[in-house]
Amino acid sequence: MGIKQQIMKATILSAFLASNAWAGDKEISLDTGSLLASSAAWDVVGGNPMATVGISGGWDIAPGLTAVGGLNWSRSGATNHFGNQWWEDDGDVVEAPGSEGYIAALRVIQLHAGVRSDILQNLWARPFGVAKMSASMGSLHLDDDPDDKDNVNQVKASGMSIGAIAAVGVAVERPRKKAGPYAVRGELEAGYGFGTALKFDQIGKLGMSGMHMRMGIGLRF
Amino acid sequence: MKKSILPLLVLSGCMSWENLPNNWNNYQSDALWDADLVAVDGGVYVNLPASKQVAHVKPDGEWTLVDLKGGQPTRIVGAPDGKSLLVFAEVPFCDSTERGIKTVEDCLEKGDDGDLRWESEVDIVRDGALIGDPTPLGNHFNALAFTSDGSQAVAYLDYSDTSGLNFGGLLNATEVVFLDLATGATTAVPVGFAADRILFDQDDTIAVVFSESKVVVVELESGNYDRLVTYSLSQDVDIQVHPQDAALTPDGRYALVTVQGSGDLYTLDLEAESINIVDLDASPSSMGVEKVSNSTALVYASRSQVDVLDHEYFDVETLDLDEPATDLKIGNGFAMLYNTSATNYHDIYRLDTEDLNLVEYRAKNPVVSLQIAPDEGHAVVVTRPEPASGSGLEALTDNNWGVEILSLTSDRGHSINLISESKPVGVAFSSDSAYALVLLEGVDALLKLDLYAGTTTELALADSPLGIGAFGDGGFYITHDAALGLVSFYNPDTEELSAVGQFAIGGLLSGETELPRTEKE
Repeated sequence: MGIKQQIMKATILSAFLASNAWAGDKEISLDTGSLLASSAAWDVVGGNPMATVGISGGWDIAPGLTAVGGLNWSRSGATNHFGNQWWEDDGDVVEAPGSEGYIAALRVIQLHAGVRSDILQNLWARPFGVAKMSASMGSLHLDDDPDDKDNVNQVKASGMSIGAIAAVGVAVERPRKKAGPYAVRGELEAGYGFGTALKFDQIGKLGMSGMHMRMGIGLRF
Repeated sequence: MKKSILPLLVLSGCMSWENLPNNWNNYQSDALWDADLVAVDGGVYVNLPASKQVAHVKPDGEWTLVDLKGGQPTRIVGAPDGKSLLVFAEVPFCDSTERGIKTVEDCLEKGDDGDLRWESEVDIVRDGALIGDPTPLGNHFNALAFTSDGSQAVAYLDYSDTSGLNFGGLLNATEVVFLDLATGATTAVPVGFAADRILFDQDDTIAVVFSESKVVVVELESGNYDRLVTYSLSQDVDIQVHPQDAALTPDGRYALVTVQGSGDLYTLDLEAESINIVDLDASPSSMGVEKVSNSTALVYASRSQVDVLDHEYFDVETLDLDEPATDLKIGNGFAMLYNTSATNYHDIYRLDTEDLNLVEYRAKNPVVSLQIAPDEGHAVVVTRPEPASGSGLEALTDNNWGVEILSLTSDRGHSINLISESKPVGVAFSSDSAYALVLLEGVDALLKLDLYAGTTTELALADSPLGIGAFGDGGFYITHDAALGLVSFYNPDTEELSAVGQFAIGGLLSGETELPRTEKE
């Protein structure tokens, strides 16, 4: 091994050790949150707001700057009823087709990745700002006779959306130097998500822009 | 690849049809589809009120949404040619000069009061596509009457169904609009106040328009829609004459008009342009013109009699009945008389109009509807429950709906009485008149009722039925009580039933309403 190679090896090793030397340079978190894309179309799937759960992680890439990413998923559904009914001359009540209504259910899986900037890192409560790109896959199910497993009107459609999330929040974490190798970290963030609509062919679309909230609890190590 | 997706699916919790998430109740004001659909050659058209679209549904299972260039349908009507659909539609326009207005919601938010307006039109659709440009039409018109060849139509306001009427500003209820369906040209013709009944002669050369205290004859051949003659039914402006019913004699020479609350029967001679009044005993509840005997039968809700009016001298022959009749159906050489009022009358009569022979049938329960088979050998009557007056089978009959088969060749009033487990929602006849197809509420079966034996066989349906109608060459369509849209097509020759669904999902998740047309368009 030549002298140049030894210098290179020492440099890489020292850089690696230096990155490991940052307190709390990695993190993992369990999340819950919501997307409030207020519209009548979301009422159809009972997703106004749409609650989410997920898992996320991060890796400090510079002091006060963390690369974050995660996976959220959510399920929601509603039984849709019709209000229009009328009375025939013989006194019978006539309802519109579909007197039992129909179920509309939606599942959304969302991947997101971005960067977070923490400030006041030595305090227990530290504000942060985060910007993330997101990609969502929605799966829509419609069924007007759930008791019939062979119902002709079992409809399944899927749609994709891409977008971005900008949020601010506050994290609660014991200062890294006092916490030892592991520190519990809690986060609360709120912001706005922008995204293309989830399009389900001829069925229509669900707008993905709206208020975004997330709470998480996890570990930094 | 599969291994990498599997954990994701497990994490996300797969949605199975048996376990769909259902954590909310949502109430929608409009149904996804209207079961009063329009059958044409090759398919049916369905109005989708919630998404404001029209679906074209074919028996092979395909369905598409008709592109109405942004028009939002309010009502659909089938033309007599069996191919064309006419769609009453509304289109939003925004008069605001603000930038960035692309939707109705934008217009309401950024524009001033009154910037948003809706224009009405009639769209002609064939083979699932819009034909030509939409025809502007006053937004109070909601009904059409067609000439027998379907080449022309008259738009008018159906006063019996003014729900959702939005005429905006001032409503001119004194004119109707003649519509050339080939060119889309429209011509407004003043015809008098509240015209709501239009008849055409056999050759489609004239239209007779009945309005309050007035009858106007309009010629159809020149394209100018000139008024040939106007008949005033009242010489005193303080006395308004409201037509109750109207008909033309088979030769088209006379128009007969009965009047609400009056025993006057106006006979308008369309050739001599004269009026004669026949004095009846009361205001008839129903009237029907019979071609073979060239006479008109009239029945009365308040009188147990039927009058037969000959078309030569307009003499009235009165026959006494045991019970009054409110309705009649006309066959070739006979009329069926029956009572559908809220009373508990049971009698049905067959009046042979040439020799005035009267045959009485006795229904087990009060009559709701009566239909005559194509060969006129039988009629099928639907009856409703009535207060039980006995016990055993009699009480069972009283407490239930019924279907009765009347033999129209019998002079003894022969009938077959069937007790129905639920309300009959549809009756149709096979083209050979051998059987009737009967649908019962909540029963997922199509009942083939042998009209001679009174026996039934069943064909399983995909869902509970709502109604039945003729489709294509001897076929039928059946609508079902399914929210997302379900129509079955029945081929009597092969006894095949094919169910087509899902068509009501078109536009289900609709967002904002786009402004589809610029002013220049």
